[in-house]
Amino acid sequence: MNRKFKKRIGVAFTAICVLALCIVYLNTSVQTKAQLNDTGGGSSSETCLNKKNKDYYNIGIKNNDASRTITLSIEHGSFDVYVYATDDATENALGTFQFKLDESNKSKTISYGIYNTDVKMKVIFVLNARVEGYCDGVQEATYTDSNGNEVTIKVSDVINAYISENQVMAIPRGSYVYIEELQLAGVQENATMENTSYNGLCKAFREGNLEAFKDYDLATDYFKKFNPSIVGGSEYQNNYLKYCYQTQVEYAYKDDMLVRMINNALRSYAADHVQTSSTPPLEKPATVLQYTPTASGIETEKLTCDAFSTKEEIAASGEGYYVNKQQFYATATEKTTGNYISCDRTCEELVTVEYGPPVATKAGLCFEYKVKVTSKYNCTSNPITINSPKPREFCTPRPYCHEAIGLTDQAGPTQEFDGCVQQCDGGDYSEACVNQCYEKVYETNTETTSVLNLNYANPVTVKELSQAFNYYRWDLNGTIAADIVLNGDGEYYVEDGIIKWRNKYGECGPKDAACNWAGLGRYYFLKVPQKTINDFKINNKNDSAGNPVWHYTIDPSGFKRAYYNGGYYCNSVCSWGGCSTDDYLNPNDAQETYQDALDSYNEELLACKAQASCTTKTSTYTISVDNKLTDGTSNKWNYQADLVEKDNTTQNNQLNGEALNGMTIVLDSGGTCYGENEYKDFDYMTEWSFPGTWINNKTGEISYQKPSNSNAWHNKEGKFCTSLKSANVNTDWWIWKIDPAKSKPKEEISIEDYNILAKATNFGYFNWNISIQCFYAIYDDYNRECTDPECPNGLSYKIRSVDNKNLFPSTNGSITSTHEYGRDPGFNWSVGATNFNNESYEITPYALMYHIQSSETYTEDNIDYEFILTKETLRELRNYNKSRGNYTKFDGNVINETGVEAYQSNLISSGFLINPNAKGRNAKIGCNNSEDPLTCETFITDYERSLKGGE
Amino acid sequence: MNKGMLTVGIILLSIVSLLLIALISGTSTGSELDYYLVKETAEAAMEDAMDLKYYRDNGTIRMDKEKFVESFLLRFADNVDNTRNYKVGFYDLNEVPPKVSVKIESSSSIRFDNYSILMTTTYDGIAESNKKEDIYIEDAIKKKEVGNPVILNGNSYTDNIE
Repeated sequence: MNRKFKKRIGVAFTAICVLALCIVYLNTSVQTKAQLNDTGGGSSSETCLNKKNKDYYNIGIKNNDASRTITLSIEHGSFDVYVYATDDATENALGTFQFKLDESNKSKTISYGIYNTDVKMKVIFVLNARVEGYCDGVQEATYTDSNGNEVTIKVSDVINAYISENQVMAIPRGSYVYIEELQLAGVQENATMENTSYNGLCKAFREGNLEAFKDYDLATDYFKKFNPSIVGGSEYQNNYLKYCYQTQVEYAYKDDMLVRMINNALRSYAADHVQTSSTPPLEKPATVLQYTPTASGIETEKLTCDAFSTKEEIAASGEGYYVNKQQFYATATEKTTGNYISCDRTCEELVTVEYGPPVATKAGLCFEYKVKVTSKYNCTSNPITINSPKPREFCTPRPYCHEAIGLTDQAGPTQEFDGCVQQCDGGDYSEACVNQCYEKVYETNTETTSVLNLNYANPVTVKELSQAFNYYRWDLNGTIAADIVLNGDGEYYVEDGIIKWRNKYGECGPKDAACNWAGLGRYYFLKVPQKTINDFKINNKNDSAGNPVWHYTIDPSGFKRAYYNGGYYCNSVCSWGGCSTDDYLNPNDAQETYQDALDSYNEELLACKAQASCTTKTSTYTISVDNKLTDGTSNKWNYQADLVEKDNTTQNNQLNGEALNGMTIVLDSGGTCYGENEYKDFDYMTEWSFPGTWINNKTGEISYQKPSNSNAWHNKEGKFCTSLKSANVNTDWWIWKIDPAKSKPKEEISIEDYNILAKATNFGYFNWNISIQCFYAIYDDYNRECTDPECPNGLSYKIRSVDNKNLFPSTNGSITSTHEYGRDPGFNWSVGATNFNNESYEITPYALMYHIQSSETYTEDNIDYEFILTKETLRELRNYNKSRGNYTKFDGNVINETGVEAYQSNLISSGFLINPNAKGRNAKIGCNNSEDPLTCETFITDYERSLKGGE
Repeated sequence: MNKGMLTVGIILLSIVSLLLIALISGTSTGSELDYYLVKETAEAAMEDAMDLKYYRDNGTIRMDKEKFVESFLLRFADNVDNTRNYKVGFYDLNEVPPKVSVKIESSSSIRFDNYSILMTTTYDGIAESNKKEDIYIEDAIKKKEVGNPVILNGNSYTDNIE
């Protein structure tokens, strides 16, 4: 080969080397994925133009899913091997490892254990090609960068190879770099814990045994309707509560948590089985008035009572009182959409207003006027579940421990250390063996470490029980208390994007009884809690003096950590991982969120149904009367009450704007919306009238407010009592009503004053506003013929001295017989006043007149009361008068034994005035008159007998 | 007749006259036994005993018996002289329609051999509506809208009043 040819060869080789360096630089800056031949997928890159290629080095990466190991191997060269493991989901670093492979040590197997998340494992083989001599003779080269500039690099340069976005590794130029990225699927271990509730509360749930939950806060209503014994267990087993159908579970819940889960499952089942309502439409009467609902309610036309209802109707009692009736109808459709429920609803409402006839009365007397509004409505409600709450899974974070480069692998369980000790002294953990193994495993020989121990993967190891039971507090029988297993006093939480563990006791080890193992993260109890307990037991070693030498303990972050002679052996950096910070990290969190979702769901569902069935607003009712007086003035009385439909109570009872103490105008209210059984025909019903008028038992004085001393008063419930000085009003109608024979034709009668007004506001589903007007009539002057020139309205009488033989003498003073009136008597002495309505208090004026005129009055048989007034008695009476101040301060009692309230005098009943020989001293109180004062037998003649019906 | 006998006669006659005057005065109706006293007392007591509550319930007037008796006794005691004993009798009292008969008896203060002269005053009175006809009440009675027994809570009751 001539010199020129050699030179050309040299130039070509140089160019090739420069190009190779450029490629190395570029390729190491790019993250690529490789896939092993035996696992498939991925990509690979080679970054050095050299004489050799991959086939020469024969880099091998073999994954064994069954054993959870990776075997890394080469055929030639001397490689620095780097392994980076990261959580595929979170990109969190899980661990790094570095070792050498050369021709004397061509392969290494790494165990990566078991974990529940996918792991991205990057394996980097780096061969210093210059050192190996493959790039000898090339000291520098040039390449053109992306800007078109020519860059010269030297073999001695160190370049930064980007392993990933966050990882930079210095690699000598001229290196051969091979990168493989493995994606290892996570494995979820099956739960192995016994479901301690399977034959307890779970069984009661499956069998619908309500009694078993008597000590728990069970959603009883849901349980009664939707427990598995009623609706079947398949859906619960498959969807809502698998837990109660499994004898082995991943996590054993406490009873309270289980009941909460049962409640949620029941509610979830109910939510997914919503019954849509569909009822027949309301029947609309032909005379109904139709309205369109508005946001502010429905204002109906004012209703006026029929003044000329037939007398037969008006005379009827009870249900027949309501001779006026009008019905209203409205319908509306609306749609609402919530987070969980879409509610389509069409409602119709039929309101019936019933009100009484007008009232004919007399000045001073009392009358009642009642109004009743009822509502029946029908809604077709169709709640559609658009987003059904489902049970929430929770994720238990696992411990991820890794070493800083340069440190030994001290993290987590120490299988290697334990194995060493086992070989050394058979597991006695003598001090000599402990020290020997510690030096061997942790201090001297990183090369011998055979395991890339991703500690999250295999945190618990079953060990045989040792004899060192005397250090920690645990059950010697090997059983595990529930609170230890459940570890319910701690929780995972997220702080600054990092998952942490905390317990309410602060830092504590298993030795601390108060901690109850709460210091240890829940993960260690998740699978086989007994293993964790055993780990702590068997690794507990004391020295000859009984002091703890080597054992596991719990660090402040909840990790199980090796401890030796006063300090942590394990210096690995540990973190909780395997779960996203968005996951529910605790059962409580998952159930609480699930429960909150169910709450929201049910609220929307109830709202849909509630709006379609009952409102909970407040309606207002009023009734007013205008009582005009003879002096031209007017007393207007306005009553009001609010009815809180939510709980069917009245409030804000008022009279003329002032509180109406202890009384209300609402006589009755109810309907299905109030859960009333009495009014099933209605959804809303309110009946109202006057609240009543109080009448003083002694004076007859009236009060529209409840008096402070109500014992002295009697309430005429539901009635309004007019003033004794009431003026005549609506007189034409009064005549039509009372004396129709003398009335004008009703067509000629006009109602001059509608003095009774009633109103219902915000009533029923569509907020109806209903007004009614009616009237009372007084005509005390009608057909007036008086016995005295002064003959006013109301209570009008004259006290006369009379001759018992001629009570009502004619103008010439004569009468023809003792059973005749000499003249027309006042009404109360006339036959027209005869009244047998009260059998215990019959009124027979004619018989009385006949009795008086035909018999001797002053006989012993007729004595009702007789008194002997001695000088001493008179003196006492005068003193009594002085003490009282007036003659009408009656201080006796009122007795009602005959239907009439009669006064019982203390003065008389005390007996000191009574003539012991008087026949009438025991005159019966409450008798009108009698032949025998003890029996109240009424004077009666054949005439009265004929009036009574021939008795 | 000598002057002495005439003087004695005059003196005796004067004594007899005085005794006669005293006797007549003691047996006649003094102010305390005046008919008008009884009448006014009885009529005032009837007024006191009118039952307005009954009127509001029934539209007719009623006089309460014991109110009348109590009021009469109190008024009478204040108005008579406190020099003798009285027997006061109430006969055939009627509440609806109101009618009273009162008899006052008293003995004279002068006695003869333990016998005194008995003096009696009576009064009969009624309360009568001014209107001779009340078609409204008649109609209400027929419809049983008034006069029905008002038994509170289904039982009789005793109630203090002021």
